[in-house]
Amino acid sequence: MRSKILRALAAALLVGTIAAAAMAPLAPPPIRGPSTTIVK
Amino acid sequence: MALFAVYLVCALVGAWIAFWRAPEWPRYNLLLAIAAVPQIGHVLGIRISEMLVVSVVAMTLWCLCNYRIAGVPMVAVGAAFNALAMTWHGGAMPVRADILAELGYHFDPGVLVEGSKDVVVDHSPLWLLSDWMVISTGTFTLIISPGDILIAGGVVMWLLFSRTAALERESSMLACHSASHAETRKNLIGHSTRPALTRLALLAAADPALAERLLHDPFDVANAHPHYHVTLDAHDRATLAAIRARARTVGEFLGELAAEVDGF
Repeated sequence: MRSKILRALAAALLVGTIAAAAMAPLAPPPIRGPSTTIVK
Repeated sequence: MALFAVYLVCALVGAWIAFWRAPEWPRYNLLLAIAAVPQIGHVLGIRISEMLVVSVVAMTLWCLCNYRIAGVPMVAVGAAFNALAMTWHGGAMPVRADILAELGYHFDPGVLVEGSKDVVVDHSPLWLLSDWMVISTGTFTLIISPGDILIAGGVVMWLLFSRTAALERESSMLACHSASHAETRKNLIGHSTRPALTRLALLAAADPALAERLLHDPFDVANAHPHYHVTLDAHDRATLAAIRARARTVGEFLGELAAEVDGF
């Protein structure tokens, strides 16, 4: 059981890192006026 | 940050699957951390476009190091799609303004959306690789790219099938090794399919006088060795007669005999 938990934690860390490194989804905030940073 | 919530959900799903099914562990995961740091910085508002290069190089190296693991090639393709679109737009993921407008978000082109890696564009030649697929559950909206789907699919494939694929790979390698070992044994000189002739060849090689007698009268000498009895069948006798007809010297006789024993 302990090894399973450790394995799950390691997998969570790995999957989270892959997602952060390579995925680029957009999760817009709830609509109450845009919150943006204008660069151009 | 909604994006970090998405990453957290991905991590939790990964943990849940890994709890029940052990995947094959990739190597050099520090490269992933190196690839992730600039991207997390981008989401937090630290935007240095050159940092995308660090992410791309680190991610590419990680994929190359682990390409044999199931799912990693799919992750690599997805990451390449995203990286291509982001490179084209200065390190930010493009999202079309009209798609956001349909969802009720009105941004001008060129705006970097806070808390994300996205930049709003009017049009992009790589729009197919950009964030354009909308997943909406009413209260929560997510716009993803084809690359994101490939990465998620690759990660799920890794979690579910990498262990099985690794075991299959190991068993096929073992089978291949056994086959080549058997082939090697078969081809070893001395492992003859003609044991009586082999015995006679060894005796002749050890005793030149016996080889001389074999050359002149193979049948009687073969059956009349003082210490070792060699029983030759009709095939062996025919072979010896043929060798005797070809060979003129003891050396030639022994060479021909060795070749017959080895099956050449």
